[in-house]
This record gives sequence, C-alpha cells and structure tokens, in this order.
Amino acid sequence: MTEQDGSGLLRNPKISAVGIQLLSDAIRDQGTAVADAAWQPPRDGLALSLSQIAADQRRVNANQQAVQAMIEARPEVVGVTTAHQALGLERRQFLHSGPPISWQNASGPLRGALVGALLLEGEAADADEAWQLCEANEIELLPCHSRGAVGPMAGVISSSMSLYEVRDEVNQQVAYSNLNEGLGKVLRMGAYSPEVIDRLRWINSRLAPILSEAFARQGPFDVRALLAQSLQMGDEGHNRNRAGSALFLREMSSSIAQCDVSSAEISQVFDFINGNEHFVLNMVMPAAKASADAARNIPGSTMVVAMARNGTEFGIQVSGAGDQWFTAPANTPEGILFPGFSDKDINPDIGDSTIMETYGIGGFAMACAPAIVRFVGGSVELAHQKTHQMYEITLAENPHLQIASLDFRGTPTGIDVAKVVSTQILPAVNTGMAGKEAGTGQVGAGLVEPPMSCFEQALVAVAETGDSA
Amino acid sequence: MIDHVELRAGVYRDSVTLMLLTRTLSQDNEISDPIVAMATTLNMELAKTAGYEVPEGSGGELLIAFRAEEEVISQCVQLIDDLLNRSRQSTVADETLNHRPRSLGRLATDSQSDVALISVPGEHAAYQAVEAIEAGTHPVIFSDNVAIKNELSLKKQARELGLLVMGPDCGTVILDGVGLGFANVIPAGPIGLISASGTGAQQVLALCDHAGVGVRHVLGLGGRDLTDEIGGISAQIGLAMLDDDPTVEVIGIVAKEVGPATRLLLEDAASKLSKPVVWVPTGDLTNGTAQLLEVASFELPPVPIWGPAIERPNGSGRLVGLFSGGTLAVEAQAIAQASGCEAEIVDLGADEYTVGRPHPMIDNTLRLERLAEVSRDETVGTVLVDVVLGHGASPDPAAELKDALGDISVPVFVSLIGTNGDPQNFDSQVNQLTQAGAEVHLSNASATKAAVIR
Repeated sequence: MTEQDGSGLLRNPKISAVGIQLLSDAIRDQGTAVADAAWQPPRDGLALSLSQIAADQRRVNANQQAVQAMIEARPEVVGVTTAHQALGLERRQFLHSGPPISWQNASGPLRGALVGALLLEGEAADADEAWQLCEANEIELLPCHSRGAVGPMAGVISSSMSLYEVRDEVNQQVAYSNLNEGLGKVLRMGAYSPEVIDRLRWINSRLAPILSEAFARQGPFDVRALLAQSLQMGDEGHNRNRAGSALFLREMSSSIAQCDVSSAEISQVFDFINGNEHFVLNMVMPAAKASADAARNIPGSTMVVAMARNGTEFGIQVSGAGDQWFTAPANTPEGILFPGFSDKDINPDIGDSTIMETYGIGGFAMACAPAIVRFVGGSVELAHQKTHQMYEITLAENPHLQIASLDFRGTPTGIDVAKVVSTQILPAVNTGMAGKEAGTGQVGAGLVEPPMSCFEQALVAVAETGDSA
Repeated sequence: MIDHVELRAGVYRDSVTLMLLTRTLSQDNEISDPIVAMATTLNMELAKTAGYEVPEGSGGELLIAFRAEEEVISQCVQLIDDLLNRSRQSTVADETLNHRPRSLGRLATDSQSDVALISVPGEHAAYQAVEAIEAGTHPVIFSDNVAIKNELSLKKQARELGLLVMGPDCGTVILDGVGLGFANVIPAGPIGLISASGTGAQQVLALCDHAGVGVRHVLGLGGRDLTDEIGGISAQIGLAMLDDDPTVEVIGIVAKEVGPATRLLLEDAASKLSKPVVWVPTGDLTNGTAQLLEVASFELPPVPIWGPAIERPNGSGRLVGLFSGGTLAVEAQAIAQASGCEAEIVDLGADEYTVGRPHPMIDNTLRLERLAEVSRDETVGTVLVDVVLGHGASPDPAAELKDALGDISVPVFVSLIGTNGDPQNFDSQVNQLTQAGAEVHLSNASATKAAVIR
C-alpha cells in the first residue's frame, strides 16, 4: 500500500453512512449498498466536548495504554488478611460501596449493614444503640475504592473482617474484598439479625483461617485463568458465578482438606462454599479492581476505571480525571423478585460489583451466560445483543477472556466515556437487588441502567484537561 | 381543535427526513401547525413560539406537536407513526449485520468500508469523521458548519494515514461512477475531477455529458480546502490519487477562492504529475469546461438552448436570480455585474435560508414563495433560476416550479444542470419548463448572459 493509495476509494468502494436518510437512499437507488449507522445524537451541548476529545492528541495512546494495562494484569489471590491489618481500619471506621456518602444520605441496606458491622465489632450492644451511634456521627465512612478495596452490595467492611488479598505482579497492584456470606439474609444486603452476625463471626474465626492455610499451601490462585474458564461454562462473572465457584472448590479442595482441623469442619467449609453460587464473586471483584487500578491516572484517557453505587448514587471514575467521582442518582434495577417481595421493596442500585463491567465482563459478557436472561424475561438473543452493543462503547477486546458463542471473540473491555456519550449506549449491568428497608436482605436480581449524566460529566471533565479546551 | 404534544425518547430521525415528513403533514387538511422534530433547544423554542406547551426534555427526544379536532387525534398520531416507520424501512431491507451499530467507527470497521458519508448536524460531524479516520475509512463530510480548526486537524490526521477527507460542506462526490450527495449520472470516462464546489462540479458534469465525455471520479474537497488556512491538504492527496489511477487521463480542478500560497503549492504539485491538470474556475464554468475538454482532446459542442425564443430583455427592471446552487449563484452574480446589469442574485441554499427547512435542491417550498413575490413585483425585469438534477435532488423539480414560473409575466430563464442519465428524466424537465414559458439553458453562464438586461 502506497502512502496515498486510493485503490479502495476509487474502485468499487464500500460505503457506510451516518446522517440523512435521503442521501443513503440516493446511493441505494444507484444499485450500491450502504451500511447506515443507527446514530442517536447526544444531549445538546455535548458535541463540543466530544469534538475536543476527538481532537485531543493524547487520547489514542492514553486509552491504549490504559486498556492494555487492565487486560494484561494477572491478578492472583495470595491469601487472607484482615481489614485492620491490611488497611489499618479502626473499630469505628467503615468502608462502604460506591462514591462517598454520609449516614444521613445512606439508603436502607447500607444503614442496615453499618448497624450489623457495629454489632460485629462489639461497638454496640444492640441494633438501637448502633443506630444511635450512626445518627450521632460517631462513625467514619469511607468508600472501599478509596482504600484499594471493593465490596459487593452495601460493601461494608469493618476492622475485624477477613479480606482476600489479590495481587497483580504485572502492574504491581493490590486489592482487597471481604468473604462472601451467601444469599438471602446477609450483611451485604442490609440484614443484621443474630444469624447474620453469627455467620460473620464464623467466617472470621473458622473459614478465614482455613482458607488462609489452604492458599498458603496452594500458592497464588490465578483469578484470570478461573474467569477464562468460567466464562466458557455459562458464567458472566457478576450475577452468575456458579461455574467459577465450582471451579474454585474443585481446584482448592485438596489444599482445604489437608488443613489441620476436624473432618466435620472441613465438611462444613465445603458445604458453605458449595451452597453459595456467588462464593467466588468476592475474589473476582478485587481481581478486576487490581486490574482496573493499573489504568488509573493516565492523562487524556477517557477510560472508566471504576463504576460503583452506594445505594443512593451511581458514580464513576475515569483514568484521565484522577480520583474524582462523577455521580448521579442511582436507578432502581428491574428483574425477578424472590417470593413475597414486590417492586416497591427494591432499593436503588447498590454495590461495587460493577467493577466487573468496568473490567469487561458481567453485563458485558452476557453472551457467555444465556441463562442469565431469565432474570429479565428476555430471550437468549437479548444476551447476545447486549454484548454486541458493548463492543461499541469499549476500547478493546480481551484476548484472555473469550466468548465461545461469538466464535471466541474477546470480551468487550475498557469503557470509553466518549463512546458512551456519542452512541448513547449505556453500559449493561447485571446486579443483585437489595431490600429498601434496613434489615431486609436480598429481594431479587436483574438488570440496571447507569445514569447517562455520570458519563457526560466525566467526558466534559477530561475534555477540559486537553490543550484544545 | 386541541393541541397534541408528546416527547418520544429513543427515537431519532435526521432533520431532512423530519422536515419532509412535517411538510407532508401540513398538506393534510385535518392537521394544523405540525412540528415533528428532534427536541433540540431550537426546536423546542419553535414549538413554544407556535403556542404549544412543551414538557421538559433532555434534548434527545423526538418532539411531536400538532393541532386537530379531538376525534381525529389518534388517527393523526397513527399517520405520523406510519410516516416515521416508512422512512426507516429501506435501511432494514439493506441490513446485512445482525446488530446495526450506532457508532460510525464500529460500523465502518465491521462492514470494512472504504468511505464513510457523514451528514449529521455540523457540530457532530468532526468527531464522527475522527471515528471514520480511525477505522481507516475516507470520510465524505456533507455536513456544513464545521469549525475550520476542526477541518484542519481532521485533514492533518487523515494525511498521516494516507486518507482523503472530502468536505466539510462537500455536496458532490463521485467514486468510480457511484454518486454520494448531489451527483449526476455520467458514464465512466477519462476525466477525474477534484472540486471545491458541489454545484460547480455538477455544471462541469452536465457539460461533459453533453460533449459525450465520461467522468469517473469527482473528489469533493469542501469550499475551504483551497484557502491558505487549509492549504489544499485534500487537494494534494486527491491529485496524487487521480494521478495513480490508470483510468484517469486528464485531471480538472474546479476551484473557487484559491489562496495565493495554496495556488503556488498546487501548481507545483500538478507540474510533477504524469497527467495534465486543468483549472476550471467557478467564475466561468462553461469556459473552463471547454478548456478541460480541449486538453482531453475533445470539444465542447455549442451549449443547447430550449424553449420559446424570448425577446432579449431590455429597458427597465432588475434581474432577479433565485438559486439553489451556491456556486451557480456566484457565477451568475459575476457575469451580471460584469455586464452592468442591476441584479439581485439570492442563494436560497445559504445557511440563513435553510434553518428548519430542507435545502432548495431537495424541496422548492421557499423558492415557490419567492417566485410568487417576484410575479407581483413590477420592478423585476427578468427572472433567472437554476434547476439542478441528479441523485439526491428533488425527484421532479420542474413539476414543482412550472406553475410558479408560468405565472411570471417577465422573461424567465432557467439553468438546467443535469445529464441524460439523471433519474429525473432530463427531457421531461426541459418540456415542463419550456411549456411554462421559460427559456432553458444547459449552461448557467449562457442562461445568465441571456437574462441580463441591457
């Protein structure tokens, strides 16, 4: 190909088009095919920022660097630690999911989880006392993301809680998450009844040491390799982790069985993991977090490095805009409800688990998990369509995480806020649903749309950092 | 009569489609004051001015507003739905991909396109063009109102990748015989054009067709490419491409407003090519085309004139020219001025006339209003209009114009810019216009010279 080769242009050119229908029709009238983009204009006033970003000399390389760092990360679970030990969390300091929030603005499930955490830490004798401490601002709230952690749903992490430690040697990153408690009445969904607290104590005192010993015996546990397999076994890594949890148990069973505890306890651990199809979620989330953190703070990059919700607001962080959160009121998920609950019981969107979509799986890999469509009453075609759409708003395809049903195409990875705004396609998010009232627990699972405003604000902010601004 | 106002989210149609749809509605006796438009700030203001109470929107919705008797409202909404869906069907039939992309970049990549035609509103054109360029596709930017700084950065970016940016404000492109935008049907032949003017190129095409000489490519540059601000970046790439194409024997540059530095640059570039390059200035396109044909070893036969032998205008009154083609208007202005005739030449395709309505080459509504005024104006001594044929233009412009032209008592001259292959049927256009009493010229220069009052 010579430098100014017009061969494709000047011989029977293939044409695509965006804009006026009449002009495309005029080409078809000549017997020539035209592919039309189904373009939707962004909100008034955003064209300027989109043009600035498009002209920003830094963009292409910055985004390439960001997405490659995330894709090439090789996160591994290296062990189990505690929030006090790893993050220096004190007894009245609590991490929560999503962007920063105060107790006054917190939703039911987050409040419930904080009450439960105060009980777990022994800072309150009962729920009423815990509630009063919160009302009196006697606690400190920090986003998980601000401490290198992520937590599903309410995402409350307190000082004594056991955490998985995930390390990525490629980019020298580390991230943490707590251990998954199972389904139904659980702290992360805002429940704080005695059974919830007892289970957390059992996790801290029995499960965590056994897993810790097992990891020490097994060596670093490769989470990306686990995801690569589970995505080809019907998981999407966010709202469906059956295969991943089963694979985890299969790979770790020998190391767990060798722990120096009674066979009854080993059996209890196996039963617990086996009974919780989301067991592995709290390992894949920090793995995604460690991977995405390597893409932070690259000037000019429009790639999303975190999406997270605190039950009140949806927030995103973008590589080229530092640690700034771009927030908007969270939408309420739609999906199927557990028996006995109705739509009015559903809390607005909550949890750091959208780190999975940030990483390019979850809702983005729905084509891997056709069974997930039962949550929304859609067809398998819908699952494929969602993934196809996500290729339009992402920067790359992850060669390590492939979608078998799309001929082993890589997952759509690296959300570009400019592409989101210019296509008006929002990231697809699969999520669990928490009850609105503190103490309720999980009420169902489904899909939710992030607010467009977060992406618009982030776009404008990155545009303003450029030369042409 | 009651007001019906609704905002529909997630529905987008381009402005031309919606303006033509609104025009269809306004011809319906049951519907008054229809507005079907995207809910931009401007359109929402228009609706408020028309007395509608419009709800708050995000700007991205489709606004539907009309007045009708209560019992026919739902029937009218059904009609609008039908019209909205009709405009979409042609694309569904052509769909080969199982998922139709929203983004041009993804579409161009998935469909392995060579060229991307961009006709979104001007403020959106630059970033769409970047998507095309990054997908390795040559952009044709039909949109106008693109900032010159964006044009420069697009053209520089494309040059790095060996891509040609056609436009912005590029009305006419022909690639290997396929017309994009407003383009006449002409057999393939030895001539390749690069053109800073859409209607200028169309005049050259009409005359080449008359001479029986084919044109294989027209690479539109947009009106600013030859200014010194842009420095002919696309012209240089286009020249090199045409020089490399073995089917092209002679290259024509249809030029308006050439910057002095750019002219030197292009003359130097042209002198190094293996093929002759002929400048066709828009000041007299007919003369320029004759020279182009001569270099190609052909001859421009006498340009034809049809219709009643109108007495040459003389004595009192002004020449009024109502044009759809910007370059044709400029050419007529120059010729009238040189002849010392008092002339009022209006380019109805200029931005000030096309806010909220289609270009006059697509829809003659505004020109019909102006012609009606002219017919009542006793200070007018002679009337000149252009009728531009080809793909993209109105399917039967002569039928739209003939009654209004027939109502004019002073002499009427028409520049009919078209070829024998054009979809409008050239002969039928000539017949309708001459029956309306007009004298029809294939050359705009010839029509203008006939129309001037001595």
